[in-house]
Amino acid sequence: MNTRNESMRSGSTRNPDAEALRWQLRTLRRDIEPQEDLWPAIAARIATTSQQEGHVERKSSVHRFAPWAMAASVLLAVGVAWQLNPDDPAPGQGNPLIRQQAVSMTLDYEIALAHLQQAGTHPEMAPAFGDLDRSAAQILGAIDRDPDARFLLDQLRRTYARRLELTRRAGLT
Amino acid sequence: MNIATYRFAPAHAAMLSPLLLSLLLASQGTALAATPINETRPLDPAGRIDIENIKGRIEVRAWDRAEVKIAGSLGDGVEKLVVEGDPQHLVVRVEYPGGGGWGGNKSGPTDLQLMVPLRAELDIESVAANVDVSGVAPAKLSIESVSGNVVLAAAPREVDVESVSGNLRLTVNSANVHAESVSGQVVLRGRMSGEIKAETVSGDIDIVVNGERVNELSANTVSGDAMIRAALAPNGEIRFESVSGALVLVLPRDLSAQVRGESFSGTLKAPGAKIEKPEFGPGSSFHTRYGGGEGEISIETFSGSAELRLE
Repeated sequence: MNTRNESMRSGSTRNPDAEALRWQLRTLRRDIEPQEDLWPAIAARIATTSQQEGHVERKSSVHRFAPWAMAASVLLAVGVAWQLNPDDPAPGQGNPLIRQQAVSMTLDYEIALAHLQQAGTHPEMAPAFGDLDRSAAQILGAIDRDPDARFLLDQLRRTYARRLELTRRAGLT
Repeated sequence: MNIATYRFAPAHAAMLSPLLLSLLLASQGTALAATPINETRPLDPAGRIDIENIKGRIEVRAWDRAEVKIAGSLGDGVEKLVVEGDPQHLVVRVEYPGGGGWGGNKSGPTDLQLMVPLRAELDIESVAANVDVSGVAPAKLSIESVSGNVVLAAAPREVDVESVSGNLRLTVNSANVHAESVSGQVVLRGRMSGEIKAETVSGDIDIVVNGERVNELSANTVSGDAMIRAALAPNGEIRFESVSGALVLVLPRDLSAQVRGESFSGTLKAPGAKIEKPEFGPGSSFHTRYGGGEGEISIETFSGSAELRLE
């Protein structure tokens, strides 16, 4: 996970091939023991991270992304654990499919974003990216608290899609 | 650019009076900043024109001639204005040294003023340039901006406007409308009868539909507040969603629709509707019918408040 954290923090990676990231994920899947449902704790942590992030957002556009990148990477691992054991939701936690889809979507998003960020980032876009990242964290936190709300999945999908599209466009210029 | 510049050695400058020096420097700055544009090209009445300008302003107005007139001024440091294509498809693009980029260049702002055929299709791209389009009536109109604000008063059949942080103020008579921003405010006015879609992340949404009953309207935001004032067509549909933003939907008293509302921790309000709350745990919802119940309305928010008003 450290390698992934570093690459997310720097906004680029030495590994230019998204396939390599997928292989890392496969390895990760084998390494992680499916234990308890870690989703609620992680979603809560992400939500907290986004709140803290909001207080310091004007201070540094570089540091702004680190907490989210780290939280997202943790979520990646949790997502893998969750996917390994999707039929074992925590009792009383609502519809497991919605959280499962949120995790799956986040995994796909993480891979796509890492791939796109190889083309570099653009400082002018930092406020918008921060806004989108905080919103994604907010939605994940909401899904954690209200796992029956399907519309939140659409919100998450739109937010990720927008973030990826802007990252792609910024990379092209 | 071919603009003559004047250089003064410090010794010479010291001999000039402060007033003369400031006048000379001012005239030098003016000459550098403003290179007038005056170009005209033929364009079919229903042709297409693409306009790109990174910073400054893009102003578009309509006329009844089969040609495009381009006026304004090129910013300091801009490489050139490119006008290329044919009478079916014209491209007007401001080129920057090294290809420009999203705000990465140091060039001055360029002011583009275009007159275009009334029905010519328009595709406008800006980064920080404010966009002002008025009086056109094409089949399709598309505007993309990053931080530039967009003001539109037009009658395109289909319109698609997107920004990142720029505010969108759109007054349109259109069948289909799509307006989207990350943090910019979306203000939408006009006669709109087809599919209307407004999306933001943190920007507020304010929609007023005049003189038409909407068939399909959706507005969603993550944390922005949103207000819709409209009337619903028979069998029409409205979807209104937020994560934490407050939602207000104002409809006429003759509403005929099934209305569902749902919130996890926010408050819900709708005239005559009984708000259901589970005996244990969070959440509230309502499902009610107004009139014959022909249309369908859904209002969902996670933690924001949501209110339906009938006026």
